[in-house]
Amino acid sequence: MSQLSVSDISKSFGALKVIDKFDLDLAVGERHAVIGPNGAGKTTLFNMISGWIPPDTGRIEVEGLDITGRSPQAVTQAGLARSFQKNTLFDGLTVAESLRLAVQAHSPVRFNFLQPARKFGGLQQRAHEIARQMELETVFDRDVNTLSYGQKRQLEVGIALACSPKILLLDEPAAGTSPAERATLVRLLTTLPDDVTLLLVEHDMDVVFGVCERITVLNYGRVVASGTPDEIRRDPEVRAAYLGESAGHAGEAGKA
Amino acid sequence: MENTDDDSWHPLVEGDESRHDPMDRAAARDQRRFLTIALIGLAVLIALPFVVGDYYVSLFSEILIFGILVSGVNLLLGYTGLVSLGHASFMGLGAYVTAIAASLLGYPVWLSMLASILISLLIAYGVGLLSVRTKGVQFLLITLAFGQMFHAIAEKTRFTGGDDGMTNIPRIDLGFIGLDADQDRVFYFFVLVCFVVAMLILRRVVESPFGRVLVGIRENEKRMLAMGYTTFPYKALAFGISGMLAGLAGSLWVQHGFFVNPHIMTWELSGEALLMVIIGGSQSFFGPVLGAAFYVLAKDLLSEITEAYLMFFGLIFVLVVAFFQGGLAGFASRFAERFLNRKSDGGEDKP
Ligand SMILES: Nc1ncnc2c1ncn2[C@@H]1O[C@H](COP(=O)(O)OP(=O)(O)O)[C@@H](O)[C@H]1O
Ligand SMILES: [Mg+2]
Repeated sequence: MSQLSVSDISKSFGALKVIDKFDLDLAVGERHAVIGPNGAGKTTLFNMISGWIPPDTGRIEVEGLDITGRSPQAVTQAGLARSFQKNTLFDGLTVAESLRLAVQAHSPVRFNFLQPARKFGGLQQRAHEIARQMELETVFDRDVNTLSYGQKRQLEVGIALACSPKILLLDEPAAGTSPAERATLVRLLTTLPDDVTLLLVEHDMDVVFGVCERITVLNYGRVVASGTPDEIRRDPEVRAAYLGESAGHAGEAGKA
Repeated sequence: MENTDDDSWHPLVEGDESRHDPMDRAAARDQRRFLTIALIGLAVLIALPFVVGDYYVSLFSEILIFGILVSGVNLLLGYTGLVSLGHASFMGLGAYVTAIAASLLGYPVWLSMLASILISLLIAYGVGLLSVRTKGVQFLLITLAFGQMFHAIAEKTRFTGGDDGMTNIPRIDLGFIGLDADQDRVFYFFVLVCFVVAMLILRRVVESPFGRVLVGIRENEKRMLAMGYTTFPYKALAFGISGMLAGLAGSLWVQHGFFVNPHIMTWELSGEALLMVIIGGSQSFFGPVLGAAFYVLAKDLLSEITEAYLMFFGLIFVLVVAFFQGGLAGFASRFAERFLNRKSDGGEDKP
């Protein structure tokens, strides 16, 4: 059974068809990238899969469970967590508090309203572990609004990761990060547990090629090509539509 | 309700106090600070009736009663980020329940108080369920509408004296420990006990995992949803708890003055409660109590000088918002920090 199955979903905003009959099947542990120029519909696709926008047609399943039209919180509780292209963080909280909240969301203690949260050391420990993985250990007790942009991007991913998802959706996690931070990200994503399925939207081709074994190319809401990184690199239609003249080394392609 | 049946899919993190590996330093510091302020404050409040006159003892009972109310309001305003204009009606509800049960139905006052607390919790939770799905101005208007409705009911109800309200409401019977609560000093200590219990419960709530969720909702509800929290039951329960505290305050209020009328339910009082919270400091646990003290004392002082005390209040409010970030509590804590830092001369390790 596939871990995530998206069949025939479409979405229009008014007259604009943003996603047109999109299909995707991810096996357990698959690392899959969705690439395509700005406005291709990648974020809209993520919004539909993660419950923020209901698709006009089609069906989305997590491990065979139909989640089409379910709320974002229900989708996340079903095991699918996402990060956002635009930072969606807790500016007034610390890194530790942010990560703890994410860990706690998937623990029965989240309903406890009469015992001090600090008694649940496991929450803190897991949060710290995530911070270490994301190389946010040194800023663990700092307020989020004091972090650098790159660190905020790391936290954006860390929060999704702290939900211990079976399926992880990352929307341009490397956008605006330094080469060192990108290397950390690649290392992290390549060392994810084998049973975590990854769906990645990313413009940085080093990250995409370094992490993913399959790639789907989206343009104007339609799948232009799908295959292994090598196949994608060689696909003439992809070169024309997306990778442009610098095919093969298209790190900057599609950046606004 | 939240979809809990899928909880099994990850190994979970239960209470394991022994393995505090990466220590939660912020929480430890916060706890130390809380205990320090609480103990000093308590000592002052216990000593007070022995050094000030009758009039001020009564005024301080009032402060503690408002302190309970505004601490509850702050659970919504400061912790959850929700602005309610309906809290006076829960205070009024608590007041009327005690008045009706103790005065009309002849139940003992302690039982009437419990009834006030329970009924205001339940009704506030219900109102919360209906209103917390909205946000911002809409939420404010819904809570205002509920408040006005309760106010109208109180005005129109014959058996509680309509607009005139009810008088001769008894205070708690402390005869079993040989005390007479009709004496203002005794009643003050009774209010103080209620205040301490209320603050301890509230402290537990804000420190709990539930309390952390409220703060998360304040900071970014969208991300909370994305993390998998169904936020509205949390907000509804916060509303219920804050209504419960308002109800307790109301129950004490009617005993304090021996009477109640619908005026206690007007939205003006809800607004004043918000002012107290903001003047005192919504980002601090005890800030709202400071705000209540400031409000009651300044009102007392100003109203002796002028009828237009609200005008001065407006001015003070604007000054506090403009210049005192974090209200009186924020000011006090910055002051204390500077003072302590100078004294200890870097002895304390600052993270
Ligand atoms: N809520 C919306 N309402 C109307 N148009 C939208 C909305 N969200 C996205 N779009 C449009 O859909 C298209 C795809 O956007 P998006 O999914 O963000 O693309 P990508 O993430 O691939 O850059 C764009 O033309 C965008 O303007
Ligand atoms: Mg996008």
